Amino acid sequence: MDYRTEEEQLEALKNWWKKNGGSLLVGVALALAIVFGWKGWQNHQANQRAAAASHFNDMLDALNNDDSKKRMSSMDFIASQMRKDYGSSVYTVFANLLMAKEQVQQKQFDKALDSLSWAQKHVGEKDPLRLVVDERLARAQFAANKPDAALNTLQEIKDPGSFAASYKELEGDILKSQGKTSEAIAAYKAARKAAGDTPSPILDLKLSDLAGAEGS
Amino acid sequence: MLQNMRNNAQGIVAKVIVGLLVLSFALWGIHSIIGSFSSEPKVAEVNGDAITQAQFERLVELQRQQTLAQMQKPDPAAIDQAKLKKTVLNSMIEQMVMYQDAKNHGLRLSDRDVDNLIASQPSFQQNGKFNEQAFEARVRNMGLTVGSFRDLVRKEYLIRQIQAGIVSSGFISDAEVNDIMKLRFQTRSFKQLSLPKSLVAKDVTVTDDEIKKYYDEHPADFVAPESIDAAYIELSVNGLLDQVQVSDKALHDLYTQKMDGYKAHEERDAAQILVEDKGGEKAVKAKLDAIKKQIDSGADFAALARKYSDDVATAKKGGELGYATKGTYTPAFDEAVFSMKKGQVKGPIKTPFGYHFIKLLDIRQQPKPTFAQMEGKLRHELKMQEARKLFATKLSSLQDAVFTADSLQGPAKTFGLKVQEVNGVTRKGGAAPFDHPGLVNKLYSDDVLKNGNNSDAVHLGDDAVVFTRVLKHHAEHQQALDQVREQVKKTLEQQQIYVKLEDRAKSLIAKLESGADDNAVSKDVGQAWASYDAVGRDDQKVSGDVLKKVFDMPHPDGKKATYATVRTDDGLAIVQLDAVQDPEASTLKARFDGFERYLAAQSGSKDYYDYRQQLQQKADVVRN
Repeated sequence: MDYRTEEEQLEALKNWWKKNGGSLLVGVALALAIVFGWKGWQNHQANQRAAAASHFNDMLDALNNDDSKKRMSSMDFIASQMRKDYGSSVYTVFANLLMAKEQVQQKQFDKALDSLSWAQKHVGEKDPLRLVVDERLARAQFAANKPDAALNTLQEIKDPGSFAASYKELEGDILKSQGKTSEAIAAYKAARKAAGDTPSPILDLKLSDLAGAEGS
Repeated sequence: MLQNMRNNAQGIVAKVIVGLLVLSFALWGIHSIIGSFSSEPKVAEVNGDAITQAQFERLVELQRQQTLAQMQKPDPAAIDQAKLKKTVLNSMIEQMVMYQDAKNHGLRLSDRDVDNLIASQPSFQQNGKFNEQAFEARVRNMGLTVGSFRDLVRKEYLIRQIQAGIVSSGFISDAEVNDIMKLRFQTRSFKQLSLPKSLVAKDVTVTDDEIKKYYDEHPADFVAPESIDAAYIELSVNGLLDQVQVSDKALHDLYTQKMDGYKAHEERDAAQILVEDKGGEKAVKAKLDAIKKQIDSGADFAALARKYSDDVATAKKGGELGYATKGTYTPAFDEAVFSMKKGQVKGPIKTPFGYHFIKLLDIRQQPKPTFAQMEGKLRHELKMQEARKLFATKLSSLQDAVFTADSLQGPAKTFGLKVQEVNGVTRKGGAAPFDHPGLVNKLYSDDVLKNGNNSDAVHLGDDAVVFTRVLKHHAEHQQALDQVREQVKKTLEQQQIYVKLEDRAKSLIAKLESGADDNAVSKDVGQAWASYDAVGRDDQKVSGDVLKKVFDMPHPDGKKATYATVRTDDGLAIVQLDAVQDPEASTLKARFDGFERYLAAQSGSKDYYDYRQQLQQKADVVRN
């Protein structure tokens, strides 16, 4: 394939173009389409993200409203909009957590459980955020006077990891409220052990008050 | 080879490769290709992302500067470089993990958003507008480049978003708050009977066999840590004071010089009414006008200050600031005060604090002090000056002498210093001057400890310098029994005293539980019960150990008290717990809101703390 003269080279190029030109043009066009399509998709994603972020910030602002009725209604409005438009964004999970906080505070326990269940469904089981959501759910169930459901939520978590101390303390609170003193002590002691060197004065209060009752 | 490529260039494989290259350049830019092949040295890899040596060094240096700036007496020798590096690397790894988590949750920030964030920072603004020069200067001051600063802003912002989501949504139910408050403000009523050590001390004997046994069984208690017996010489300005002379002429010259500038010692006593710049321009102007009108109509300035001034501290005193010399206040205020006549009122004058009305109450001249009054002070001042000069000249030649000598004796003799010794300096320090961490680091440095050289100069503040060397190095070692015999004996005596006291207490408690009369029991040990009614956890009247025990004890069952013993400084105490009381409903109600807010915030922060721990533990970190 050695081309001696320019004409020969030109000729070869022309032949090659006749043979492959069409498909090359199609290829280039396809590549461009992919590039622009991808860029467009990225832009769309970025816009969605920015909009969800700004809703989340609105939610945080709404939380600071001193009027409890207005606070609830504006938070409720933003959260439901986010569930509708940005259902797959982590910001919407946070919006539901914020919503649940407000609902527990205003004693609308069933609604709080709905918010937290939504969050639970939208956070993968392996996502560390799930540990936060599950703990909040159990806490809200306990507040809603459903201690068995709360215990069940806690027990379903296979590996609480760094949340072990918090989980065990909550478990102790629930057991204590059910009058199961010795089991509560065991849970508190497990929490104390999991906490290690981290000081937890409130846990110590609970434990010392009960440990006394057991005579240890 | 080239020929081969040309042939293959037409092949489908090459087309695909070229296509992929084109596509990846288009999508991610050239950096994605070049970057992943770059061989920049790395200090760590976190879940596959690198922390480069350059990034690391930059932050270490930044941290070092900040640490120095925070020291009262900046001293680079006092910084533990290894510890500093470890801290910085740990925090970089932690930040990287949190940033990756934010990205994994789909959070991103475009370059334009980063720029907007930076531009909205008040510290980079001038007259309410972003100022690029101010920004770049500040970033450079921090030891960062614009690029690395933007990177930092992006990371911090995204990390904060996750943080905000978890922390602000933390909650706690009313029932939980009440339960915790009930425990927190619970009170207990109890009586305490002391059993002093003297009660049993005469019955205690410790034999040599017991001492030997204890020593053999607790070897770890008798390990002496590594230590150095150190010699040192100190050159200090104070030490040189005796060697300098001050002539009478110099004293008089200094006196005359000081008295020349004496006018500056005029003092003025002013009063002010401060109106802070808040609540809107209109409100401020209305207030200023009202005050001005009353001043003009001759109202009492002090009364107006009490009524209107926003400076609470001086308002109570009728606005009086007290005597001050020129230059004490902010420039505008200072200028006004020192240009007024006695009794005059001026204002409003604007300063960074707000608007001031000022009345000059008095001017006084500090009476000119006589030479005799000043002599002592002047002499000291001159001597210090001379001693400092002498210190500076001596220091450099002393440094040379110490560096070349193989002991401290020679240089000490030449310079009229005394070689002093401190024994038992551990790595944690020892007696002065080895309470200075920089000096201890120097003493334990290879050059001084291993090579046996004199140290170079360690500055203890501005006016003193120490050189040290090792006299004797003691490795960590087991102390012989004879060295610690007394110590062991004391320990054993204390142990036996407490055993006997516990025995005594046990039988007394048994008597009490079977219904013996309280006073008969206390008479038996020659002590009296001390009663405490409804004591809270924060009570100051009861000793800490006893109080802790009281709140750890079992609740009394009905009318039957519970008992416990607790060690105190002078012996053992028997505690009889009579009753546990819930706090008053009014206490709970009054403090509920504050507690609820605190506990909810605490709960959110705790969750975020756990969350961070969880991510750190799951992270795959390789440290190089």
